Amino acid sequence: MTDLNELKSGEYAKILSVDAEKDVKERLRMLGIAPNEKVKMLKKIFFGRECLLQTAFGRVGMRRECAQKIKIARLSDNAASLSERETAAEKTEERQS
Amino acid sequence: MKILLTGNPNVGKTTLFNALTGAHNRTGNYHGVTVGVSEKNFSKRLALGLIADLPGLYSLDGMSMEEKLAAKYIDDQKGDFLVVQVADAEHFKRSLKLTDSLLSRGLPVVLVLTMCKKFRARGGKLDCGRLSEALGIRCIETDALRRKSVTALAEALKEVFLSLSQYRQKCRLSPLRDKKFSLEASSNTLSTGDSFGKYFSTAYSPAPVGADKLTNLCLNAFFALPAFFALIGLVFFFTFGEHMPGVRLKEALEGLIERFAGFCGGRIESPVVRSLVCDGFLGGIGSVLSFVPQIALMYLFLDFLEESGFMSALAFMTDGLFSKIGLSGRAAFSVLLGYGCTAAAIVSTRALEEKAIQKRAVTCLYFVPCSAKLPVYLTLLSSVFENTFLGALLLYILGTGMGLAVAAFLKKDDSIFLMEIADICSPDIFFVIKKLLFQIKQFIIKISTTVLAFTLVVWFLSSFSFSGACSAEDSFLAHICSVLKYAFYPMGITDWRAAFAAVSGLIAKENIAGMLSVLFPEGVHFSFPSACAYLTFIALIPPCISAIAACAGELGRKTAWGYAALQTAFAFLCAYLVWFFLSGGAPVAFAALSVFGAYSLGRRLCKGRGKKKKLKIRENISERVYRG
Repeated sequence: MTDLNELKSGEYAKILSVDAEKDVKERLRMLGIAPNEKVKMLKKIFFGRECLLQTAFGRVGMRRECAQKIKIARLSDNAASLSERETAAEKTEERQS
Repeated sequence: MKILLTGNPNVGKTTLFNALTGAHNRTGNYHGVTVGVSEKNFSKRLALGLIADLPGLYSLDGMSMEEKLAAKYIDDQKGDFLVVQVADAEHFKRSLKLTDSLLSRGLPVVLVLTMCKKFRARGGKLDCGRLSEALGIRCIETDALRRKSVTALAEALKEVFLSLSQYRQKCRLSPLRDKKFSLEASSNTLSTGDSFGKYFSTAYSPAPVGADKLTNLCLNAFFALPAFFALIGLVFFFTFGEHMPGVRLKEALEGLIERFAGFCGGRIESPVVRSLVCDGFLGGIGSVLSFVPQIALMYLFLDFLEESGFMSALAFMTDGLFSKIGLSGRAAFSVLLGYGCTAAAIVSTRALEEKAIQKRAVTCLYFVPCSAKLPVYLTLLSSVFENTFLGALLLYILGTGMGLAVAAFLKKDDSIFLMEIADICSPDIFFVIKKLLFQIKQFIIKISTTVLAFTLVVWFLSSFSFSGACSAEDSFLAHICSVLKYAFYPMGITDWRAAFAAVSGLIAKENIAGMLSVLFPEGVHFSFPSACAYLTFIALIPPCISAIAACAGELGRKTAWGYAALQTAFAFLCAYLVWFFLSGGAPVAFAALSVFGAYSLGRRLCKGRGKKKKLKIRENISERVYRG
């Protein structure tokens, strides 16, 4: 099973499970990182030690060790539909075109 | 009435708290600013009762120390109170999880939405009236920076509080409790199948995600880190560089104080009173007050970073660096605060995820040079060095470097680091200036109370003995420092006045500059090695009593004073070494190190040979046994 740390910049993924303590799991959930949630890897810095994600609730930064505890399934761009805000942006663009 | 202000981190709770009470609690556009519960009465203008500002909560079972503290505070409340949950219009849906938690505990909740103007400007739609109907609780839109809006909010809260028991009943019937829509992560899109979207379709519509170029730029490693260090260098140059505004304003203020001292001196007949006013009062306080323009420039920089949101981007961008030395990205802004005030920075470490990281951050902060050390550095540097800017920079690097080195030395295994990166926005200039004026006012008040009292006591001790007015050499102070001065002999300093000035820094670091001006009216004249040793000592001694007290509050009195004692001993040792090296001891030290190095290498080689010999003997024995 792939973990979040293996996701490359620009790729989308669906969270399958989070293998962490209860309070860390809850904190991740509030930041939009929970089973069935979709995330996008925005970038990695410091030789992959830190990663920046886009979740449904905003941008979240975390360390590699934390990302390794999150199991994911990669998604293609079409299947992403990441957030309500991006969906709203797509609708706005459709109306304008 | 009693109001509890809750909400997710970075939604504007403290800004609203300050607006409702007239307080000036610390704010910033990043998470983790509020680190304790502040209680205050509403301002005289509103006069509605007591209000408590809690740290940010994502839920009532939070991870960090501040979230646990806030949850406990809510659970411990007795009597009538109203919970006001502050929510950011941009992240409204996320805030409903906390609303649900609060309502499930039977609490009366009013939802206050902030940052609505920015939300609408980005294309979002919000109707508080319809939102109130949909949620079954009162929803109010507020702009905490506008007086009219804050007054309207206070009136609305009063109205709710007057019928609190009925309102509590209404909250119990909230549709949120019936789970008519899902708050779970799976319903994060606004597709037609989404229950959240359907339920709130007329009341709320999110702003589309745009390319926030500025935030993206600040999250670019090639831009962010160099830009930050360049900004730091620019501010230091702007503040301390020759002919720069900081220095010009300082010189102007010094001239003004000098003219005033001359004016007063000319009109006072009694020599004792003249000495008290000109040498004691104006000499001591004036020399510190003249640094206010430079300190104000530094505070202005920090305030812009905080209010713009660059601080949260910085915390993330520097986490990789800080984790190497056992700290976290969040420690980055605690260390930054340390350049302003060590006590405030130590209190902010409560926002760090773990006690171990907090301990390491506090240890680091003990060494980070605060703004109060700056007058001391400049007083000493100007008497010995031509380029005070470079000297000040080196001392800042020494203190910071030592702090980071100690934190790295104490490093253990890493912990979880999670951070939400706030959107960068241009700060409200009016708000920043208001905050800056308050900080300067606090700095001046600190001087006029602590430092003035101390300066006057020292003036008395240095001007009088049992036989009345006398010279400094025969005074009470000279006798006290005749014992203290021996600790400074290995720095090549035998003058008791230097010893006393250094010790006075325990009360407030500004005191050292004040004392040096009072006790050395002709100026400080140390030899080069002694000046460097003394500066090293000043750079490495523990922070003032306020910071030690803040540390005692976070980590315990034993730890706080233990750190202070160890750091003092370390500062003396480093100062002695500096004097030794600069006084011609470098060749001796080099020779000693070479001998020690050669001895260690020799021992290793011998051990290695000895091991090989033993191994060969064992092999031979095994072979014989095998053959035998």
